[in-house]
Amino acid sequence: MDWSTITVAAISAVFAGGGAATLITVLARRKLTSAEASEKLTDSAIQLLEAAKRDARADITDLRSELTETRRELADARREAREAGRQMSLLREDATAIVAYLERVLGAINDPNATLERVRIIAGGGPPNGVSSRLRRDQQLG
Amino acid sequence: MIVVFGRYRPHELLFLLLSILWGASALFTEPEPDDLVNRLPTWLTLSAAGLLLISGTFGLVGCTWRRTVEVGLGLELGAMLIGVGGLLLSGYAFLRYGNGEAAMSTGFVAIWIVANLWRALQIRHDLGNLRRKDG
Repeated sequence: MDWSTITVAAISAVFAGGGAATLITVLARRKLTSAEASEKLTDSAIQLLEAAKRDARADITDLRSELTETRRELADARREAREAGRQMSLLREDATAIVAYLERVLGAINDPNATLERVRIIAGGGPPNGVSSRLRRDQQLG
Repeated sequence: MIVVFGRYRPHELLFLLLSILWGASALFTEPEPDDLVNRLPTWLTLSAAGLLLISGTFGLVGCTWRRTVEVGLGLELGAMLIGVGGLLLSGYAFLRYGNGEAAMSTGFVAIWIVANLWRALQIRHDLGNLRRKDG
């Protein structure tokens, strides 16, 4: 083998070797790129999961505070309903007493033996069981 | 600015196909009695044909690779350089063993080598731009 053949073979080997090295690098890099992409994908998934967890935690905190507020409002509403029921009951008692009183007064007026004195006595005595303190107070004020 | 650019480069693809045919025929077919191949040393025939076959195959794969631009260009770059190696051996064989009858073929191979080197430089430049862009 003469020097020209050796020279051409060497130059050819340099180019072919460079090309082969490039191919090997590209193929190895491709595997690495796939692994990196997978890693990046996993990182992205973890980040998304963390963000979702943060959102969920914030939502749970909001929901808890809203639940506490709702419970408080419900307790207030129940208390107000009890108070309204109690006042209704008092009003019913007052109304019953007033009706009985008016019937007694009307009876006294319509009595054939009615006298002004008897009517005054019956009207001045008030209801037998007494009107509620509110009614009496109104009478006193009026 | 309008950039007119086809998806494939027909000349390059066809020359890569020619590399495969050239390499395969030199490796796997019986030469004619008065063929130049008969006058070449075996190592030269095998090396040149093998390199051309590898270059054509990887070059076509690289040119048609669509999944990752870097991989496609990298395969094409490797194929161009291997092709230069194979063509250098082939050109030398024409010059040395062609007895002056293969001047045309030698010129053709020389232009092919220059085209391969030119394309290799283009790819190297493009890959550099892509790496800079990707950071």
